[in-house]
Amino acid sequence: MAEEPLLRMEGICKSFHGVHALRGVRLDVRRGEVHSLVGENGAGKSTLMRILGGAVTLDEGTITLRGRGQVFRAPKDAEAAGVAMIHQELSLVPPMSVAENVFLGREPRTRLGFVDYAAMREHSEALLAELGTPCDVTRPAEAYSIATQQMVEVAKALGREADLIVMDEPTSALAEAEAERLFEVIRRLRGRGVSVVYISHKMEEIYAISDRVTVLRDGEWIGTAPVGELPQERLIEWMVGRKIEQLFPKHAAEPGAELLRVDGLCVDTADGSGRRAVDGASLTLRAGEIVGLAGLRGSGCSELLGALFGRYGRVAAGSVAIRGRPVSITRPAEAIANGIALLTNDRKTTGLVLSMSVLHNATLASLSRAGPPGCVLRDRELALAQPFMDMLSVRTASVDAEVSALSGGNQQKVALAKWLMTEPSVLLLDEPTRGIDVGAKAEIYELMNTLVAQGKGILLITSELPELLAMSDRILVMHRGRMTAELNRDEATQERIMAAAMEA
Amino acid sequence: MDELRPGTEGPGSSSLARRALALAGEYRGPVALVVVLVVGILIGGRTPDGRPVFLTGSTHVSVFFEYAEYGILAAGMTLVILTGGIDLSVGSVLGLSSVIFAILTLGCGWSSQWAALAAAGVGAVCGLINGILISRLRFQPFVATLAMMVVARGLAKQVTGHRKIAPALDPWYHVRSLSEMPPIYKGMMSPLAKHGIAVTVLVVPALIIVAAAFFRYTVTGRALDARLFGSSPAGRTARATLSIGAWAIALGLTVWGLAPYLQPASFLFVSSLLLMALVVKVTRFGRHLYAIGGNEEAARLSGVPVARSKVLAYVLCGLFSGLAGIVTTCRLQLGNPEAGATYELDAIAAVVIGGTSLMGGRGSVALTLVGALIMGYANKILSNIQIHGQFLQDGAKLLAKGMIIVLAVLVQEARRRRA
Amino acid sequence: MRRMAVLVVALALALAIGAAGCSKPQQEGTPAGPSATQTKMPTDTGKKGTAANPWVIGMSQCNLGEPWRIRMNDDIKKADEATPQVTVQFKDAQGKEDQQQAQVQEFIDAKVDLLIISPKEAIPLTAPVEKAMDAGIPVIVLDRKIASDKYTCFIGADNTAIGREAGKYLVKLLGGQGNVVELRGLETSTPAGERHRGFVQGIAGSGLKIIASKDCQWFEDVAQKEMATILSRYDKIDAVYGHNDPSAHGAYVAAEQEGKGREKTIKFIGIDGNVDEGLRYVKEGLLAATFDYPTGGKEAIETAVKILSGEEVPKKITLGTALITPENVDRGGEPIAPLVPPDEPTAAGTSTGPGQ
Repeated sequence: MAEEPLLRMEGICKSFHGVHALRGVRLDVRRGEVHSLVGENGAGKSTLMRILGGAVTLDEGTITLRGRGQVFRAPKDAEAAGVAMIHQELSLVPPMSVAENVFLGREPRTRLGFVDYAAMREHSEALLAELGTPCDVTRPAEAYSIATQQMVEVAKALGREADLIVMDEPTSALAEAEAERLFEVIRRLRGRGVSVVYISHKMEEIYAISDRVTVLRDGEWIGTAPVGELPQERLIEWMVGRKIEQLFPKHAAEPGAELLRVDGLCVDTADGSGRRAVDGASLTLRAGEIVGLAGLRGSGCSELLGALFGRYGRVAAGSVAIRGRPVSITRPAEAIANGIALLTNDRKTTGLVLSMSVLHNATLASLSRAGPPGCVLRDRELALAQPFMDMLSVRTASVDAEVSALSGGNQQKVALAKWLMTEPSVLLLDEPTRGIDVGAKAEIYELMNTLVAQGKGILLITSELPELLAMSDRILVMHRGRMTAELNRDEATQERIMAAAMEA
Repeated sequence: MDELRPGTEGPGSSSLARRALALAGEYRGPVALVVVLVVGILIGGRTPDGRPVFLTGSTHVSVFFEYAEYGILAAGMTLVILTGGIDLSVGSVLGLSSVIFAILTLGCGWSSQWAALAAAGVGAVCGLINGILISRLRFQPFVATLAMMVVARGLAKQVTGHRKIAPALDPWYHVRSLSEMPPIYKGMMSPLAKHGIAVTVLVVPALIIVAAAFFRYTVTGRALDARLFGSSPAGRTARATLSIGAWAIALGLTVWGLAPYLQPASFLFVSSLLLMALVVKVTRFGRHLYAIGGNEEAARLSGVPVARSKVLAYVLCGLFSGLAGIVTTCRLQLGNPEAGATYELDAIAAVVIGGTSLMGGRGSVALTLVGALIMGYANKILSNIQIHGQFLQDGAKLLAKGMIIVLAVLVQEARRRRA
Repeated sequence: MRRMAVLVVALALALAIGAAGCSKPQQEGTPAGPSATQTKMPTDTGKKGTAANPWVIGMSQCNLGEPWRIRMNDDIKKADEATPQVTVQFKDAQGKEDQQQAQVQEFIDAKVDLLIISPKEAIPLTAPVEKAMDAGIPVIVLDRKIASDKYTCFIGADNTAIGREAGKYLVKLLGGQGNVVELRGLETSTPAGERHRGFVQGIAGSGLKIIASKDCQWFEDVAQKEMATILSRYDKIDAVYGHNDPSAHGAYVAAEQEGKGREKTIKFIGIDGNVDEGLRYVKEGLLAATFDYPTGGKEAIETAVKILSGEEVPKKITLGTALITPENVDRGGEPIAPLVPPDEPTAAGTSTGPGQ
């Protein structure tokens, strides 16, 4: 090793209530390097980064930054040492202006002690321009897209002269083009000598952006290697500890009777502008079929599923028929009664009630069957839930544990259990594998195959095209609320989907 | 009552002391209550013959009796707070139903039952209006119930012409001169029965039954349970019947045993909370409250009737305010349009001290009972402490009360962080 | 961190209670030294009613938010310090009936030897007082009545008599002729009614005329506004009769603010004679006179000692008043003995006290 790395973490141990989260983990990051940190959920990535960010204190181990030993007791210690964290959930103050956000907590002062807005504006404009995202810094942060807000976070970090930036799944909320722009910025940062620790679940990203990769598994360090020397199969093997022969299992599609028919469905946008989020969408779904929905952000795919589920009340226009019978669904309860289930794309804000237990989340949509009318009996509830918990192999200390204590994959399984318990015939799955580890992904693919084999129909949205291509019998592509293409399994390619998704 | 059950132990907790500590942490509410009682025995004043006041039965009887209205209000308040809402109007609604009850019984000569029904109904209607404003018209709970707080107080003053409703006074607003108050006025405030059966004869067996019921939650108890009843449907039914029967007998014995000591007002307080604890625990409505408070959108998308459940929570809260109003009328022996001012704060404090989160979704009514008793006993201690032969002054009492609230919430917060 | 916070709050709690105890002797208006109340701790030895083992008297005050009631407590405290046979414990119900009910119960539980109560409201406190009597505790009711006659002794002033004295004094002061403005207390309260009735009796047969009579709800600011209106309507005003001192003072301020110097010619008189209010105004020459509304604190302790020593006491003790003028204020006023009061029905009186 020619030079001392910017950051060296060695022998890091941390346990919570006697459970080891990290055991002797190490990580070294060189100057001007993009270093990916990968591992399944629960592998210890987040804990390691929280230690680096000062949010959690370590039990054992050392942190050396620029050759000097560091003890971080609070986030401000880490910040002072030049470490910046950019989380999935952005830490901007939405109603404050971009400039104020960039300088939050260290506002420049005029000689009279007032906030020097002119300097603030000037500096933040310069920073953002440098990041290739020029914008009006006097507008509130919330006026901008997630992608721009992320750039504001980066600018904030640079403004603090951070030379180590940790990005935790920064692209999870970004469209492809936006993600591409982020990578551009990361490369630029690298050019400036800033190091980036990059956490992601997306293989392509890891290979596209990083110099080296460190893999954690079950709180232990597995290995560090330059990406060029680590083929994808090997990386997955490191992550899951076993060989995955095939990530996307094929399934035999034998479409049966028509389950769902949608004709000319229109949905207004929530902002009251009169624009259509979904504009005349039509589709059919047959039993035993997985139909993929593809589209960039704002294409209306999610809104289409939500409208089918009665999420937005009465739809603006169009008709829906289930097994040939026309239905009018204006409330989720009606959708459930009609055998429709909607797995939303964000389990934390719309999927689960995080403060409730695993059991109570799982039975929430089926309480009418958990006891005599109006009542819920624990025995009946357990009997109702147990088969689904087993089928999905939900890993939890107890069914009474708070669902928020589970890993992302297990949370998603609880959400799935909730919907399977309602015995739906049509499943609307919006990003069912977002933010979950490889092992859990495979289990969910397997489950989808089982479900269609039972004669259920699935409408699937996923932003990972390989997944979409592998799982879907047919793929419908949407652009700005309109259906722009319908592709059969054998004619669908990533290129054709992207082409249809980007131009009307 | 999931919060009251010991959780699974961490791998490190081997020593007895540590296990005891962990247990104490889980049962934080009841432990705090015991601490308050011990403090009460130590510093809560002494009778002239040197016994601690807290070792006299009448002190405990008066805590339940004096805290009755707050406890009844807290029962309804917990439901609302579980949904993530708040009801600031309970004190004013109490005042309104209090004067309605007084006017109907003293002024119009209604029988007590019908007047009570009407007064409780007025409370429920106020709750209904709150619920509709909040769930249908999307008012913030704080704003809607703040408006109701003002309106109900205004109504109470309007219907009474700003006067208190009592018989045999100056030319009072439509109140006839009664030679005798309706029996409920005295009955609500005097002990239930006069039979001479000693309390231990009846309450001790009840306590044994309750202890046996909790034994079922221990490891040994579970094993025994499984061996006795098995898991067949017949076994389950037998167990359920036996369990319900045992609880009913225990409850019956307790009520019968305490009847010569406790007033109906106190029983109303405890039974309101126990009933709501049961409702929240075993009904779909109860589960819906938690879901709505935890994540309203997720609840809605799971088919939970969000608006209906919220309205019902506010209606129940109003109903309990109405009941508390009746108790207040009997306590004061008159209808006072000013009654119940700032009671909402005490009710909220009882809920919060119990450990129910103001953010909604976490907590329970059983905890509120504990919180209410902590508040009631703390009040009693502060009222009985003597320094240099003198009782505490108002300012010191308020200071201490405020700090008890902060302390309780800090302890509860610590529990949540640990979990 | 959190453990620290818990500790700090717990400590603060202990300090607050401790500090409350320490600050006790130096509270408002207790002129006596700090040692008096501390040394008189009841002990269990020997006969009761001695300096070593005094009788314990519970004093339940309905609301310490009013100056007159603070004076009542101070009067009792002074009398207590001068009387070694008894020691008094005070409780304040903060103007809440239910709290006062609870406190009476606490005194009963603590088995005090005698209870003094100044009730917030007649009806709600009737039952608790009866309960104390049933428990063998003699009860002295101060100032406001209860709705039954099951008590040992009632001590109170006669508002009608005071009103009458005020009327007679004004007749004398104005030479039997003149225009009077009356600023009444809260219309629905009993004392206001009595002070009005007595005043009308007092000026009957003279040339005094009440040209305006307004409900000022006992409040100085209301009185000031009402007086300003009256001043603009009447050119000739000779005297103002306020149902309490703050009302009379409010009227004085209104006259002063009018800017015509009428505050020099109009005679202002009030009632109550609290140290920081009426007595001061009289001393400064703002009021021509005030009439003492006695608290009965001293009489209560005297009567308590009599009851506890087994002496007979009358069922009702009516207190006299005192005319306080700038000339005699330093001597403590000129006492006016109580006239034999017309006996009133005991059940009467929602009695909202003065100063409300």
